[in-house]
Amino acid sequence: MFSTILDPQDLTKAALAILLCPLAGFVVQVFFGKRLPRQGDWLPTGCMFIALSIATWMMTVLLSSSNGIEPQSWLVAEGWLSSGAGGTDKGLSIDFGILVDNLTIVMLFVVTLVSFLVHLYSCGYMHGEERYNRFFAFLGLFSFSMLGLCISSNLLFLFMFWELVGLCSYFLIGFYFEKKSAQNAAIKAFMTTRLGDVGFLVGIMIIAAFAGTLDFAGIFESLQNGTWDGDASWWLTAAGLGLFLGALGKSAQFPLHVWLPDAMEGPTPVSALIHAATMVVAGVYLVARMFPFLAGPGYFTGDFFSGDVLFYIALVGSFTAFFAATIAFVQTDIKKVLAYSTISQLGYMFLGLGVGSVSAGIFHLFTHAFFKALLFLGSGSVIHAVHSNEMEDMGGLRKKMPWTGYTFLIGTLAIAGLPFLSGFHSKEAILGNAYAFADHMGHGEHGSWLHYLPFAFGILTAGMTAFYMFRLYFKTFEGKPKNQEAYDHAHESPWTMTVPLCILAVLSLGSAGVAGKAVYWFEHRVHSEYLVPIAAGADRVMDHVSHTVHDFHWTLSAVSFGLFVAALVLAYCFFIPRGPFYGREKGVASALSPLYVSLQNLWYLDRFYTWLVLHVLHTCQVICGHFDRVFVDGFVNFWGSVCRFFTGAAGVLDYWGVDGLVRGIGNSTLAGGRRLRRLQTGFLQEYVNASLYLSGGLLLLILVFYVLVK
Amino acid sequence: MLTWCIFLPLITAAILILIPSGWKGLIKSVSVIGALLTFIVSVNLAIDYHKDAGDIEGTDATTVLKDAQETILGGVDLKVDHKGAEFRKVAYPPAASKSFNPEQYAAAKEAVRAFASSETAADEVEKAWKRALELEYALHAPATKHLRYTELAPWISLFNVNYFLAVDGLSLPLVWLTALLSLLCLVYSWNTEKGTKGYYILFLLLETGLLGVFCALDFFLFYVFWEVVLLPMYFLIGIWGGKNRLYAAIKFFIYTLVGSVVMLICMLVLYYTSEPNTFNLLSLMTVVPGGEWFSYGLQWWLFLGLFVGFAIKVPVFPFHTWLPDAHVEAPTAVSVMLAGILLKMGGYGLFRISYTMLPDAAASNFFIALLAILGMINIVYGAFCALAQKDFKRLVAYSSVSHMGYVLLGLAALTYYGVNGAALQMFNHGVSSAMMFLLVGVVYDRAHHRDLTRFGGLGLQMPWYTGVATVGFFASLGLPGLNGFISEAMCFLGAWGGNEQVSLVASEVGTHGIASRWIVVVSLLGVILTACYILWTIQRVFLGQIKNEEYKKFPDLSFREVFALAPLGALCVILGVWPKILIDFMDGTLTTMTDVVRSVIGN
Repeated sequence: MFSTILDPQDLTKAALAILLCPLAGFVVQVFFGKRLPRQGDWLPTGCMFIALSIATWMMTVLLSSSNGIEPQSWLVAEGWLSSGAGGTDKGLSIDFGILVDNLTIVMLFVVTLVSFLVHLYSCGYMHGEERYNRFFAFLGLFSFSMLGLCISSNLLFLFMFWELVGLCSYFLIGFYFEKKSAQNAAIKAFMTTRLGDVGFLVGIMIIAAFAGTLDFAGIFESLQNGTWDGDASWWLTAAGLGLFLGALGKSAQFPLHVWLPDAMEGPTPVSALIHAATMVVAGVYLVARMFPFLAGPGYFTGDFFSGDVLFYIALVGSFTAFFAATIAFVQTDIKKVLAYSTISQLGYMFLGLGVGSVSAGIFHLFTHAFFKALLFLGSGSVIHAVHSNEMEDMGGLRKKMPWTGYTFLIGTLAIAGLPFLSGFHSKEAILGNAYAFADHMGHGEHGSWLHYLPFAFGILTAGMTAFYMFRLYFKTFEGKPKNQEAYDHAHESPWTMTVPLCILAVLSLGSAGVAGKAVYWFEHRVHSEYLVPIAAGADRVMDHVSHTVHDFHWTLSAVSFGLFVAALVLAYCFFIPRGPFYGREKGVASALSPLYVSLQNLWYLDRFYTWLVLHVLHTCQVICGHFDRVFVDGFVNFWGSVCRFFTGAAGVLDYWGVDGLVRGIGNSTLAGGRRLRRLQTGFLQEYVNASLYLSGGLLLLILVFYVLVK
Repeated sequence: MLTWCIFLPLITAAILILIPSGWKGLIKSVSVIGALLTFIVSVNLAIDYHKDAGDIEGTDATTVLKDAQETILGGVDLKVDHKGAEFRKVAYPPAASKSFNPEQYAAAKEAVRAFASSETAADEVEKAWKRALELEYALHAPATKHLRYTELAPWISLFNVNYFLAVDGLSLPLVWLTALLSLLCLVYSWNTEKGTKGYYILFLLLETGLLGVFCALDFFLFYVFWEVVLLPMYFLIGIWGGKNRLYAAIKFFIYTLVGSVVMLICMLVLYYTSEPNTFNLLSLMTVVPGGEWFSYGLQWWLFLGLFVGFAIKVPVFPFHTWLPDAHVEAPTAVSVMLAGILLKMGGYGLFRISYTMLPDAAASNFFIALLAILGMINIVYGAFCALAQKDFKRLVAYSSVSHMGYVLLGLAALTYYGVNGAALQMFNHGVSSAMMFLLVGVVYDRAHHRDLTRFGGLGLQMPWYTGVATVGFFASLGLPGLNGFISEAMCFLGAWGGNEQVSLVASEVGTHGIASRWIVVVSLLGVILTACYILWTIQRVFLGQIKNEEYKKFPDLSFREVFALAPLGALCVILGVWPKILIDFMDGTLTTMTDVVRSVIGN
């Protein structure tokens, strides 16, 4: 059996095995978890460990191959959803298949690794919580969905797993469902991403309509054989933007980013796993997976930028990176800072993809997963120690919790971009490509200043990131304790929590040694050609671009290092007691009061949305509800009353009219009878008289009739 | 087999009459056994459905046809052998059925009479010939390809009314669902104390009516069963309902009766227009011997009339307001049948009667636009109304309105995906709405109110209930992995259409291009709104702190409730993960139906 699963020639079986591990864990956990020893936490954790082992094995297969593996696919359930059997037209058929290529393997490795570490960490962090067993069940379900998302070979299946990870996110954000804020955050997350999903669905429908299939290979084939040329190119852009809208929601990009900071209501391991390392990068994965489609038909001739979608992605991504970084400046909640930082870094990934470099985007996804998970888990460790999220209750904690402190520092340095750490390299790759893109497009026919914008935002954000991250680190771990009581009670976390921190720290740091190599490695394996090769001999834009990247490499490194140092110094001055401006940040804030207030209000976007939802939605529902009750139902009731009126009237008529006549006749007959009785007196003379009257009357009647008829 | 399936509940009800009303345990047990037997028969139908593949040859209908033919031959003076062949040539002109015009029909009739040995035999022969001709055409109709378990017997021969039953991929899932839900509901109603005997008898009568509606292939029979459904429902709501039950029952009764009357008129028009006069749905839906399809103008009016009849049952905006009232007042089990099966009668009628019998009207711009737009209104408006409700049951009732909109949308598209999705949506809604009503019932039994604003924190108190409820609610929300998603996605994909098969919603409404797809895009809003009201409801009922001290005494699900809820929850998951199980039944029938209706486009 092992030889079937671990077959280097056919990795799809191994991928399925990875997928089924957490599912098995979930099913057992949800039904029997509570009765198992330790509430069964070891079970999903063990399942994830098996999955991680297989994924690591796959990674070694990938590493040992010279230029990555060939895409492998396996149609597990052909015609999973199909209709039109025996019909005259061809119906759409949706198959469940597994697709394994370089990108998939990288994703599987990241997801299983972070997921396993978070499972392990949760054993310590969640210890003694209510619904401990259910927490692990949800983690298992989430891992299953996320892995399914990565291995699906069909867009609809990707969407289904995509929704499922959203569901898990909903459950886990609202894990402490007694709290109102957690409930609201969970709903907000679900609804915001669902808004994006409508775009995703439209994209799927357009693709299904034109390509006639939703398999990735089939979609790209349709692109190649000209289905989308001519008039259809409008639809191509629409579909691309639809998919991107889905990615915006899931990956919390402007303007749908609002749910992610609120999602920090969930337990911290969840924030690390779902809202930093894995689920939120699903959007990035989608864009990477569909890259040839988003690039348009020009892709096959090497011209990535013939369509507009990628450029929009770059713009939105870079703007989000900048926008979120500004808000991160003023946040005081340690997790909120990290949340905005995540939004910002996700923006970077989109920037990398948007400027045409899948390898840069995915490389950043890879490194970010580790250092951001590290930062979140580290912050969890701190929160666990001081029982507060606010940085005002922290300070000087490094001495109390050295493992957490030092690993957190490594994470900070990595994200801030200290040269030769993992974050530095991935960020450089993105910025280099952004510059090359600007250089190439800006000088092109339709070039404009807009093409420089992504790079400008990107480089600006690099400096800002370093600053707010050092602010976070200094305020938490250095300086004097701000809340003595909390400080006194603080202690280092148990090994289940520190071991994951150390592993992640090594991964964030360790890539320093091989970082240069890793960049190269990614460029040669996780490039956009993982699925569809570009026509040989095509005049590839990317070749020009990559030259620029290399030429610009040193300048860029120098600039970003300069920014890093400047940010570090500035943060030092403000947030370390020895610094010259220590404690004066309030003064700066009040000097820049309008800006500061807008930042504190998150640029008023959340308020605007709240207003929109509360007022517009509420008004609509009230109007519909009233309309239904008053008009539609009122109309029915009106006719009901009209009918009742008429029936009432008919009743009256019947009683007094028809029945009255009958009764009248009856009564008169009775009365007549009474009178007539008197006729029968027995006196002959009266009879004669009566008969005379009667015949006279009859004659009269006949006469009247006769006259009338005449 | 179908006869057994339909009349087992009735037989059970008859047995119940003999049991003294005091023996409540026995009454309940007997009726549950009856429903169980019915369910077993229906499962058997489903199991044998694929086994019995092939066509209608060898079934009762064919036997009846042979009898009729023998009657003809008996009355015909066939002394010379070659006359038999000649007779066939005259009596059944070219099999290309549509070319059989009135003149040819009249000529054939004359010829047939001429074959008869005597003047008295001529009438006999003509009558038998008409019957044979009708069956001949019906049995060669494309729609009959998937019919199984045919049963045919003359019923009222004066009006050519037959006892004609059969099921195909459209009706079989609904028959099965009816049997299942009835069984679950009867078990769920175990705690009915008021008038137990009457309740169970009426319930079983209701089941017979519902099963009959889905099996009948004779319009007259269909109508009879349709009316049979109405009566027990009226009493079930009117006697066992809530405070305002009389208003709701009468509203329900009159509303649906109006629909029935319109349907009756249409039925009679169809009967008298067809030649020979027939109620046989198969003959009506394929070709009318003695004429081509009904003329377009007639079809148009008939479609409108039948649509009103069915729309009231579905219910389609603006005919929907009886539904919330009926639901709110009805006892839980009756609500389940109402939402789970009764609403499907309307949808089923559209599929079985309107679309297949009146294809020219169905494929006309006006009705495509009407159905699609009404579907859209149902989806979005129903969802908004659901959002506005404070009564738990009312909310679920409006969610039914919203969900049935998908059926209209998918059906109007007339693509394989759309039509299959619409039929699947009917089944899925039957499962998930039944579950939702049961869930409301569970909480109502404990709290004795349904005011959403007064609930809260039940998730802490009743974890199993919450778990099952989550499955039901998310199935209704359309979460992938559960059944609702599959059919909704199919409806949307079908309504959007493809290059191979253009969705009529997309091509006929407005111009081809973006303008024509606005209906689908607006309907997609329903996806968001549904999530809104479902999540909000979950929040108000299950999340947060326990709002009322009394709620802390609530027990979790009892065995009776688990018995009713668990199979439905399992169905939600199974159909969400492996929809093929059901689509394998439906696809053939609905694809044929779609092709038949689409074949008129461009004529």
